[in-house]
Formats: sequence, C-alpha cells, structure tokens
Amino acid sequence: MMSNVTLGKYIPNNTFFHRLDPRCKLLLLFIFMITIFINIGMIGYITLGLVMIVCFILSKISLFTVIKSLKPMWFMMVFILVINLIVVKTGTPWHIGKITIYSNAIFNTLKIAYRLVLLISTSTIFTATTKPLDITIAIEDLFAFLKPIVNVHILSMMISIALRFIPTILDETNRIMKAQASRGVDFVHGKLKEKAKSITSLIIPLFVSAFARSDELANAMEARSYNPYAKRSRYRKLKWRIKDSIILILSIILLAGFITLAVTHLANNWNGFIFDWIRGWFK
Amino acid sequence: MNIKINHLSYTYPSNQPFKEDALSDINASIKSNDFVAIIGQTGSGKSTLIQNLNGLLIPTTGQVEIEDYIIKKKVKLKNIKQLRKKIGIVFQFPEYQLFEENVEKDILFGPKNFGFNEKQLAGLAKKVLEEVGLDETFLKKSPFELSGGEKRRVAIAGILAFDPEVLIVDEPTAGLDPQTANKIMELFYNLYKKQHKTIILVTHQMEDVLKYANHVMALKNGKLEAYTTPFRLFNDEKLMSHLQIEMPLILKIAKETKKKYPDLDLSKVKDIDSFVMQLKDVI
Ligand SMILES: Nc1ncnc2c1ncn2[C@@H]1O[C@H](COP(=O)(O)OP(=O)(O)OP(=O)(O)O)[C@@H](O)[C@H]1O
Ligand SMILES: [Mg+2]
Repeated sequence: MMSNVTLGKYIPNNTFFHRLDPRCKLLLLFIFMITIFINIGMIGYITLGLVMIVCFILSKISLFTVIKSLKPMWFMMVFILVINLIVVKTGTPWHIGKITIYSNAIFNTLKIAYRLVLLISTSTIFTATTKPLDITIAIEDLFAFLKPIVNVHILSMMISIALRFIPTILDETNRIMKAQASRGVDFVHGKLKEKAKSITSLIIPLFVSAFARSDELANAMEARSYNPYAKRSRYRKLKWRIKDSIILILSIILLAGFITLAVTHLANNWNGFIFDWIRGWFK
Repeated sequence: MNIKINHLSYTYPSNQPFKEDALSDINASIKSNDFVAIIGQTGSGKSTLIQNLNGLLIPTTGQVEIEDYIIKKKVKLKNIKQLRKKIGIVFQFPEYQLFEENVEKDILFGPKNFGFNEKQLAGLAKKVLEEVGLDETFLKKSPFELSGGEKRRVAIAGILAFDPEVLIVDEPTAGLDPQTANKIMELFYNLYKKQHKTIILVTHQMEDVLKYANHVMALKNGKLEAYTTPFRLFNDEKLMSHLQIEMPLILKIAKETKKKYPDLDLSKVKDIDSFVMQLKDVI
C-alpha cells in the first residue's frame, strides 16, 4: 500500500557517492538545483541529463527505484499540462477536432517535466546515498556562518529528527491502513463520503501516534540531559578528502559553463520558456 | 471455515540490495473450530503470516484457500470485504487504530463498514464491551483518555463486534497485567468453546499455548518448523531447543511429579487446575 514510497529513503551501500563527504554532496545538490533552475538550453539539458545518468550508475541505485520515486510526479505533470494548454498561445497552432492547441504548450510542459525529473533524481541520489545523520551534520557545518543569528544546532537537530521520522511514519501509516482495512475500510473504492471517513480513520490515529511519539522522544532526550544551548563536541567527524574537492571543482566548472551557455542563449534570443510566456502576456 | 495454506512464500518489497523471505514455503491447513497457536521468535514471520490470511498481504508465491476465496498473486480477489468480515484480525498493539470521538462509535465502526443495519447495531457496543470486561460507562468516553489496557480491550471489542467466524489475534496480552491478560485469554477460549469460532493466537506465552491451543505452529526464520499439538511440542526436547523455547513451568512440575507417580497422564495437564485434578486421580 504505502511501501512504494522511495523518495527520501537512505539505501545502504558502499559506492563512490556513499563515500563522498556529505558536505560535498550537499553543495553538489545546491549546485545542481541552481543549474536545473536556470534556463540552459537544449544542449545544456542534454548534458545535464547525461551527467545525471552517470551519477545514477555511480550510486548504484536501481532504475526501478528511480522510476518509483518519479511516480508522484504524474499528477503534477497533468496539472501543468492543463495550465499550459490554457495559458500558452504561442508556437504552431494544431487543430484537433474543435480544439486548438499550441505547440509551445506541449514543449513547455515537456521542458518542465524534464526539469522535474532532474530535480527529483538529484534529490533521490542525495538522500539515497547520505545517511540522515550525515545530512544534519553537513547542514550544521555549512550553515555555521549563521551561528550569530540563529541556533544552527537546533535547526539541524530538528531537520534530522524530521528526516529520521519519515520512514517511521510511513510504516505507521501502513500499519494503521492494514488495521482499518481489517475493519472493513476500503481505501481505494467508495463514494466521496466513505472516502472522507476512511481518510479520517487513517489520519487521526496517525496524528495521535505522531504526537505521542514526539512527546516520548522529547522526554527521552530530556531524561538524558539534552540541552540544545549547550556547547557540544562531536562524535562523528567528517573528513574532507581530495576527491571531494575535485568533484566540487568539476561541478562548479560545469555550473559556470552552463551559466555562460545560458547567457549566450539569452543573447541569441533563444525561445526560453519564461520569455515566451511573458511575451504571451504582452501580445 | 477451513484455511488451506499452500507453498506460501512472502517477501516484503524493499529497496535493500539484500532481500530475505519473510516467509518461505509454508504448508498448513487450519480446520474450522480449531484453536491454533502460532509461536516463534521476534521477526520469525508470525505477523506476516496472519496478514496473508485475509488478503492484507498477497503471497509472493503460493496461495491461501479459504472456502471459495483464493488469495494468490495476479488473481483479483472478489468481495474482499466479505472475506475480512469472516476473518477478523486483532493486530499487535491494536490500541493505535482507535480514532472515533467515543468508544461506542469506534466499536461500531467495523460493523457499519460491513453493512450492519440499525437493528443489528442496537446494543451491540454495550454487549461486546461487556465481553471484554468493560462496563457501559466506557461507551461515551473518548478512546484517547483510556489507559493502554483499556484501549486494547476496546480495540478487541471493535473486532468482536462484527462477529468474525475466524478470529486472529496477534499477541493480544503483551504488556497487560496478568489478571486482564487472563480475562482476555478466557474470552477467546469461550468464543472457541461456546460460539465455535476458529481462533488463531500469536503468542510468546508458552503457558497459554499449553492451556488453550489444540495445535501449535512454530515458525523460525520464516519457515514452518513444526505444526503439531502442544503436548508433542513440549515433549520434544530437540525441537524445543531448536526453537529456543522453554517448557511451561507447570508441565515441568508435572514431569517431575510423574517420576514419583508414573500413572500421571501428562497429556491432560494444561494448567494448575487440571494438574491438581490429575494428581488427585493418581494419589
Ligand atoms: N513492513 C515491513 N517491511 C519490510 N520488512 C518487514 C516488514 N514487516 C516485517 N518485516 C520483516 O519480516 C520479518 C518477519 O516479521 P514479522 O513482523 O512477521 O515478525 P513477527 O514474528 O511477528 O515478530 P514479533 O514477535 O516481533 O511480532 C522480519 O524479519 C521483519 O524485519
Ligand atoms: Mg508480530
């Protein structure tokens, strides 16, 4: 039932990506996200796609996992397609029966879909190869410069606990769904009213147990004298190696390349999605 | 309702590179109006097995036959709701499935899902609540303000309410005080004796196995190591040490006593009372 959720799960293994310093991986994640969000044109996207495929191979994540993690995207894609079909009125008009759709609506949707795939793939690789605890430490380290303003430690602790509880809550969901299914709840079929009831029968126990759990955890932490404001030392030390630097520098070069590409593309007035869209408005 | 389990194997879907069968090649059949105990160490697959019996999990290979129902991969189960009405499962820690605003509503949730009419619902909650040893003042209480043991009993009542023919209970007494635990075990035994229900009890309590069960299934690492009577199981030293279980204390005492009184019939010793009865006969 819920077992097909793969997004955000750590997959234990010992690949090149697993061994990279989490801080390096976090920076890579940022770099890739930026790259995906700037309009880097066709060549750029193809290159980025290839880089992503190489990353997948290196991290030994099965294709199956990737496809499964992309599943939740469908709904969003349909939504975006509908919006695009309504809003975008540029490009070649195609007539299908009485409706007229514009080529750019389709292309724009495909572009967004491609970006989303890249985005989800990047985060999948990151979370699949980095232990939640390491993610927190990396966040704490990288945002250390914010220390005078916010308590970075509390923030990272919160993030790590939240991450830690995702699988637990999924398991819990699974368990409660089974228990309610045994009491005759049908989560798939049924009228709207029945659906609403079946969701309630899932959500309420889920919340109750989540609150109970967090309460217990808070007590357990306090019982072990946890003080968020205390100065603390670290048990786990991260180690930055040469390969981390190399990978990071390569990625930055890639990013710089892409930015150059994007700028030249804009200069050439390449039909970027955003510009098309804006132009569409002013027509 | 006879339950026939044929070559059942079950593997949980997972992203882990190494998968192990939670159950492998189980063959067994459970007759109508039998009291079967399922034992085995933590993680041996007991909970997984029972979930295969009402279509919550579908066997990876093999099948389960229950009357006209065949639970098997790739074969759509018709009228699964009716099956679940006939086979009620009380889950491990069922207290987490409560969600209604008061106990009465929660107990009637299952029956309503299974289409009980007003006439059948009238007085039902009170009746089953009494069966689990709670009085009617509980009817209007919120399930969230009850103690753990009371919640457990309400959850059990919620399953009893729709009157399943086969009642499967997963460690129903874990964490309850001995008196309540006893009451609940007696309740199941009465359902078996007086209402001729089939009871499948998952338990770690060897005393309960000896006292109540007609047959016992012993699981180890997902394999069915033995399917026999409690008496035979507890007389098989090798099997017991293989399964890492201990003989119930009363049987040990009876065995020692038998050295002095060879006429003592060990097969009739189920608990203290029956032991005393036997002893009176031989002395
Ligand atoms: N939802 C799940 N996803 C993946 N693996 C699971 C899941 N539930 C159980 N398992 C695995 O299946 C095996 C059998 O688990 P199961 O819950 O059936 O054991 P059990 O005999 O009921 O144990 P216990 O006495 O602790 O209740 C275990 O190795 C467990 O790790
Ligand atoms: Mg279990």
